[in-house]
Amino acid sequence: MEGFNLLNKAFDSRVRLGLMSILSVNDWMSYKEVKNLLDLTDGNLASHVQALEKINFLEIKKQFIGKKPLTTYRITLSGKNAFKDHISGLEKLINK
Amino acid sequence: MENSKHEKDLGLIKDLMEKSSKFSNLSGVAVISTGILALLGASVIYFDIGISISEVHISYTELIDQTANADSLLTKLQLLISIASLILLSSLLLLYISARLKSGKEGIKLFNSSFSRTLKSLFVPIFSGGVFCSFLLFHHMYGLVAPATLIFYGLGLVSASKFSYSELEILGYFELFLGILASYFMGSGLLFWIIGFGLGHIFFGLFIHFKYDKK
Repeated sequence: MEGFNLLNKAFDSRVRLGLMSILSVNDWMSYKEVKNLLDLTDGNLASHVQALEKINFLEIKKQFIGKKPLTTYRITLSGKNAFKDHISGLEKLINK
Repeated sequence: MENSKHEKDLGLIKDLMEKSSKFSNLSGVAVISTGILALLGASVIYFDIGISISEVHISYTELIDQTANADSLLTKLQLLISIASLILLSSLLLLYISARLKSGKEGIKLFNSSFSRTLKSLFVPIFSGGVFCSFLLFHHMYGLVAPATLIFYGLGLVSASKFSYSELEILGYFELFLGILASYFMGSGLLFWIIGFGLGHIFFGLFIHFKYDKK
């Protein structure tokens, strides 16, 4: 079926789908911002972030603002393309 | 079965893209307060109530028609400008503080790209309007100041609505419409100003409060 080949297994989970949606329209987003937008509890996000970093769909930046650690995320070019494909796959499938 | 899951996924993507890229830290209560401030301040001028600095009472219409003597006109004008600036500054301060509080509560940085885009699209028309109005004052065309502020503010809101609450667009058209009407009924400009900046903000603030804040 046309459309299925465009879907990406990496975006099966709703957390990852949400994470990519946020990062696709924003530059560097902080852990706290993403967590609140997705309505997640602590610890839930980290494993998904790592999984997406492993396949090079996003990059993580860790820095210190004063004494506070700040973790921010940004989507990579390959992540952006994969996510675009995934969306057009979804669109093709529901337009059938 | 599968289809509805895909639809849900697309819905989620769209929701989050919108939610994360739009400025949505306006506080309804703060907007209502700015409306009340505008209502009170402009009423003092328009209906010439309360303490008048000058001995003579001059109505807004007399100011527009410039029928009183030059000295009292100047006093009235100074009163009008100081009250208007006071309303503007306290409103901006109020909105800023409440937006900071709200974004802090949600763990979102206030100065993100959606905030700066909203500010830019709002303030380009408003700033040009402000300069334009000061030249109107300079050329003694007092009657067109209130209509012009309404028009430029309306334009600012319409352009800002793309990066913030989409309902701002409706408020923007409302202010524009009032401004255009007010340009025709020049002597009652401030009355339209009271409706636009006072009542308009109170209704819009109530709307924001009940639709978004009370959740």
